[in-house]
Amino acid sequence: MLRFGRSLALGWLGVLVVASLLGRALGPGADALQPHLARASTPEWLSWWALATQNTLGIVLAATLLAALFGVGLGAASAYGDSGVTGLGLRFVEFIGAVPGLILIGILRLADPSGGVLGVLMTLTLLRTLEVAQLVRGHVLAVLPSDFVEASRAFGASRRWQLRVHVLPRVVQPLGVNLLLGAGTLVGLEAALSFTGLGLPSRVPSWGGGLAVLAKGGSGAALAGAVWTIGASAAAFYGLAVLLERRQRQAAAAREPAPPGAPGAWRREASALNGPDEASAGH
Amino acid sequence: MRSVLRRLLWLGPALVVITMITFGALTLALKVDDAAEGLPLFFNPEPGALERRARSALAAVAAAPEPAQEARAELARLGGAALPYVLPALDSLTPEGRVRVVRALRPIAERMGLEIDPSWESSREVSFWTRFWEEHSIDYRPIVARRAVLRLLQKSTALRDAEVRQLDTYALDELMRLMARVETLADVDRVRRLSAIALDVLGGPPMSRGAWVVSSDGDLGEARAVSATWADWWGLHRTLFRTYTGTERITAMLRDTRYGSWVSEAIRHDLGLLEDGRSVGQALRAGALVSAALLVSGIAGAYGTSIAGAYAAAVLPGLGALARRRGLRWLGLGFLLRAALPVTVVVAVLGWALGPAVQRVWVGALVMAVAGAPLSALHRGNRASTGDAGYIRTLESLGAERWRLALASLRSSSAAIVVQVGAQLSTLITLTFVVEYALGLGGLGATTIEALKLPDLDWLMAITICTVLFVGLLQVLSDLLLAWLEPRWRDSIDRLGGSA
Repeated sequence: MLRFGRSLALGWLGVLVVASLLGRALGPGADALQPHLARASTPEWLSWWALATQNTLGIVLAATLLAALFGVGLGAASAYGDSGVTGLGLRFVEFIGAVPGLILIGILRLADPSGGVLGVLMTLTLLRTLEVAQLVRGHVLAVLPSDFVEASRAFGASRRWQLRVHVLPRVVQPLGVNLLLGAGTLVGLEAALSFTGLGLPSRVPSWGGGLAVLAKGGSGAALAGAVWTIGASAAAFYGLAVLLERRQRQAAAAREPAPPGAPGAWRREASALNGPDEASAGH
Repeated sequence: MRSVLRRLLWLGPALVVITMITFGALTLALKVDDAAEGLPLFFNPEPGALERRARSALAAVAAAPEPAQEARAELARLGGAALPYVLPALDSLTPEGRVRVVRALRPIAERMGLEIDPSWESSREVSFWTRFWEEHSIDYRPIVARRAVLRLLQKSTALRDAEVRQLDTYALDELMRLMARVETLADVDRVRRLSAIALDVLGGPPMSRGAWVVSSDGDLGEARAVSATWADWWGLHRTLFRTYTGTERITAMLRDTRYGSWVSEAIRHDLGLLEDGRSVGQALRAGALVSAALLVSGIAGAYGTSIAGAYAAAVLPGLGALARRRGLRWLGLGFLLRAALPVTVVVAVLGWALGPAVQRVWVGALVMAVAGAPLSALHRGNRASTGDAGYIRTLESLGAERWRLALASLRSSSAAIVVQVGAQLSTLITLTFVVEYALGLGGLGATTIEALKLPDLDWLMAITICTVLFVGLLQVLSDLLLAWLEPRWRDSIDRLGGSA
């Protein structure tokens, strides 16, 4: 079942990537099609879909990559940095986090000379950067007081070395899960923004923009196609994140024996001594 | 508790900073604000620059061999308020310069009702202005202007009316001061007379938006609207027609700015005015109920799903094994889809399938209740680790019943979701707005989305402040709840100054 789900998710994302790469070739002249999507024929719909996939996936992946880059830098800097600067940064993150994304994008969009494309990219990147920065900061702060980091410091290891050898490898895995989860969220957010007319400009084909047009009076099949595209894409990213997280947990459990007192350790010890039945029902 | 009090006390200063950041960002993003031309954003180093502007326009008009249109227009605009700086300086100009200046003063003379014949020789016109200043310089003092306007209000005669009009823009400060208060029906006539004079002084309505004169059968509401329009305009333009000294100058450095004008306007109009004439506060109160219902439903959905899941898993230990059975694994896929499916898709499909029937608050609340699914997934992970905690094992070994164990672990594991809900509130607010817009519900969402498209500064400022304040207060509440649910976290909350 898990394998099937993983194959399904990867297969669907593969289809999206291929459509993105061939978007222009598959959908020539589909740029102006979105406002009339409700009356579009099947080939026209497919042309629009290829171009919308290219635009939406491009925005989502670009925002995810930029957020990973800036978020890791910001998170690590806030963990290592001066407490005053860190405090100020945290207050800024709190403030931005408290402003609903819809308002944030609206404000950035007003200042956007491209009429919405840059505004959407900037907002999605900003929102994700803050989340990634918080995650990275949390993990760095959790790793830094560890015995092995203390030991390396006692041996004269530099901060940069510690970061490269001890900290970053421990951040990469949760970061991967977070980025996949975030990509799923961004698909939904882009759809919401374009649906309300605050996302990509109406002349730029996008999943949310198409959904808005079709929901107002499109055919059932066309709407189902748009719904499937958005829903399946968000679910694929989300499902892969869940699978990756599960796999990481299993790998971690298999790699090192749990220390005494760790979650679940007493059950495993009891299982080893008495057998699984006694361990689960022995109290 | 100390940290909670500290955060509450910090809310006031934080609100000022938040309004400043939001106002700055919005003003820069909007780029143009014709009404507030030339006003600095937050600090005006030179409030009441009438004297400098008048002298600079005078010098430009006097020096330019060809007509200096901009400077002439500036002189005409500054009007009577500029005369105390222009007319005494006539003697110091060259004869050609004097002629150019008195020609530039013709529009002002016309407004003031002075009889200057355009066919006059220039020397006669210069001597007219020189004589005018010798006779009337004493009138261009604040106390005299106040007396002239008050006399006009006591009894309106042609002579008294001419006295005020002769002061031109110099009388604006007094006119605005006396127009500001509208409480009884007697004030309606006062506002009607003063607004008519102010309109003549400016040569017509200075902006297209708003009511500038009270009609002959105007009531108290109309007079208030006119008074408010003038007050708004004066807030932005006062600095052009006035000079300040002493402490008033220091106050004006902050007040005569775009931000200062917005604050005055927000106080005067219940957070500002919408395009349709309603006050922002009124529209906020009207839409808050719908939005609050949806938001509360979203939060309740997040808590409810996770608590029900936790309790079911604890009380029915076979549930997990049942869900892992081959035939029921599709259930897991269903839950995953539910968690991942964007709310926009759900409301779009509902709107398409049900049409206008979907425009019900309860439908929106139901959709929002489902939107909290990702939070319940976070809770599940925390629940698993809480189940292995020492005190749960102790309770288990002492033979405590399953529901007691569930209750004990639920309290600890709920701490995680309290933190998450605090952090995810702004996302829930965004979802609320999208759901309202998509379902056509009359909450705050549709107005906000329209305000973003227009854009409407007053509404955006108000909604940003309200949401940030709301999120801030709920985060304080979530800290309190967190300290109650998990006493071991109290020290961390106190040390960090909050959980978020």
